[in-house]
Amino acid sequence: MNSSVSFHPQDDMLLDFSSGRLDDAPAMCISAHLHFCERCRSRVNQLTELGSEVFSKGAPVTLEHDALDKLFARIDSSQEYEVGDTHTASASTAAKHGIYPHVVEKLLSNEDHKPRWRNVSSSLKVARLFTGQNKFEVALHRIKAGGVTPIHNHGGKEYTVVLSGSFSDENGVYNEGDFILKEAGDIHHPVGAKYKDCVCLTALEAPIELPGILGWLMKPILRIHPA
Amino acid sequence: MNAILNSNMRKNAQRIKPLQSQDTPTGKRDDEWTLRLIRVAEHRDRKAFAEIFQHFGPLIKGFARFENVDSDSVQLSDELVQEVMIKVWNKADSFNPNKSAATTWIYTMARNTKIDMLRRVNRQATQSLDNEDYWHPVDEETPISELVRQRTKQTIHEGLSQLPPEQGDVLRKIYLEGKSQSEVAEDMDLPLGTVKSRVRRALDKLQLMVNK
Ligand SMILES: [Zn+2]
Repeated sequence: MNSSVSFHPQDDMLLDFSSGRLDDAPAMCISAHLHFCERCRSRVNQLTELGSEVFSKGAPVTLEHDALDKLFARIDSSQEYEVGDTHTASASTAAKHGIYPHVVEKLLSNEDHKPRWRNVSSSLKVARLFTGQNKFEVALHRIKAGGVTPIHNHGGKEYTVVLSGSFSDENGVYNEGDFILKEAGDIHHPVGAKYKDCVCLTALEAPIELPGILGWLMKPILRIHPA
Repeated sequence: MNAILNSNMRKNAQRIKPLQSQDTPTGKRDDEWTLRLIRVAEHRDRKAFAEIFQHFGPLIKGFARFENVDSDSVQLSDELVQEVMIKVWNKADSFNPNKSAATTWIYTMARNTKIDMLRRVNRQATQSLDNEDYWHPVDEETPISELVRQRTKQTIHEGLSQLPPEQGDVLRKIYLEGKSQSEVAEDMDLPLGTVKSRVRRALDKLQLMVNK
């Protein structure tokens, strides 16, 4: 963990994350950021305490009269400790010793959808991650040390979390753990740091598909494939 | 019911490990639910579990409001209560009273399970992650300052009921109904800015979202 994180998600995003209202892909980026950022972990913890207090003062709703009996029957008919389903457990064990945040490790360890690196340019590689949602393309980007990536302009929001190394663009230098949000229409031109490759988690909002040949021509350099 | 309960208690007897006095937390967070949860973890105590169920089950059902889903939402709410409570039973031994209060632990379980259920109901695609996975870095957190957490909880506990009603309403919509701020705005027929400033003022009063 490092404490030199200097770019954080806005409080509004942390609030939506804590109430479970954030879309999956941005939530993955928040989760990855929390891995590195003590400040935001503390904030999210505070919000969970708030959620818990609101919950405990909520209006109770009467249960079915036999709800408890049903539950005990379920407990008795199931093997103890069976419920926490096993595929999850094994995947998270596999993910345990990785170097990346838990969500990334778990997505990388998906046996059915093995991520593969492909070259976008001489200095940029991309590996798409299968996430089971279709609003965003979630991927790892690897910028070669000193590499310059194409100037790009996207149709939707783009969330980035630096997982290792650093890169810079017109607005600053981003280090491990930093969280960057670009709005639709923002243009930027990331450049890798000189001596070390930079790996980022990105979630790129799928733009509205344009029809026909025009749409094909207008697709951005990094084509969107939500998965 | 009692007969079943007793026979099950006998069945579980072999699994019960002896209670050692140093296992129990000393003083500070022995609120009633925490103590009961520890009894469930250590003794598979069905009476303590039934009490937890009777208190939290109806709260979870109130929390389990499913809107905009095709399936029968009442049935889903009852199903959520069952799913959450079975997790409480199965995972009780992973509850760490030094890290959170029982209420917070059960709430996070209810929230995660509800979100996973919504994902299941709303989509066919296989999900790669469970909501728990998103919370991994937070859940793994060792309490840096137990005192800070306690104080935060206390401030929220005392402050929440003192908030002006319009601020409390907004927080309830966010945390109980699971609405985003823009959905709250739409729902209450208010400008988004108004909702955001109510949230902001509430958080300020509760001394939340500050660097601690
Ligand atoms: Zn942060």
